[in-house]
Amino acid sequence: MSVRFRPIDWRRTWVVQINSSSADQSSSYTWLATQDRKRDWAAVFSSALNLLMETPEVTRDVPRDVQPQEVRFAEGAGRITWQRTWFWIIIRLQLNSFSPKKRALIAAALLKSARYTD
Amino acid sequence: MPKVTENAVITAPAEKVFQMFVEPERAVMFVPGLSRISNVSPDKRSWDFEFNWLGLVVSGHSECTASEAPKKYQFKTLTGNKSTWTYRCEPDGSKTKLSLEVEYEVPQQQLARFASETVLQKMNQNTAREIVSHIKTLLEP
Repeated sequence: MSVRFRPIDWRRTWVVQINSSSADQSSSYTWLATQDRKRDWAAVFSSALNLLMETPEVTRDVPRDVQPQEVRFAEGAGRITWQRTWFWIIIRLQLNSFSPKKRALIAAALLKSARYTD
Repeated sequence: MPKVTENAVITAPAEKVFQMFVEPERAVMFVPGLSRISNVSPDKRSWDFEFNWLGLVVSGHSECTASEAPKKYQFKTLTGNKSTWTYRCEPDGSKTKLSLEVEYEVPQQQLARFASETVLQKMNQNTAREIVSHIKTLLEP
């Protein structure tokens, strides 16, 4: 086992949460990610949703330069959109289903995937 | 070796609960601090893991030692401080009783520097509780 202090990890994508709100039936989150034009966000989130045992629905026929792009899941009750700007990628997650605890856990898992998926 | 155990009753069939363990990459979704699973072998019996706590990165190698669907899944961390993780699924009607047992070596050198054995046990107990709670949350509506 190796133990290292690695405050800067070049394999990691910098993603920070800038807003979140939660009500009885829904939660929404906004994250900012550093620009990486090569990154296939649809693949990153689809892979994470498969691991969460959700079925992602990606609109594959939309060209990648069309804004914003999105992945839906939970029969449309969950929606992730991302939009490229000059400096950032703005990612929005909307959850209109599940218990508050499950919504928080799904958001945390998707954020972890956004940061660490290669 | 010391061990900690956690249980939960999950409203889901044992087959579905067991599915949580058979894909090693899925652990990232419910294990606190686990950031990466990589180099998964084609038979999914071995993989590398990486934890990240605010820049402190702990990585190592694991191997699955038992996969008896849908009842028992066990793996061992083989590098550094060795540990054995055993998930058991016991069908109970439409529900499943899930138990997680973690046996771990007490790292004597690190222990002197960072924590007492009791604190380490408490940390492991809390981690096991979080894992079982997260699995229950993900599998129930």
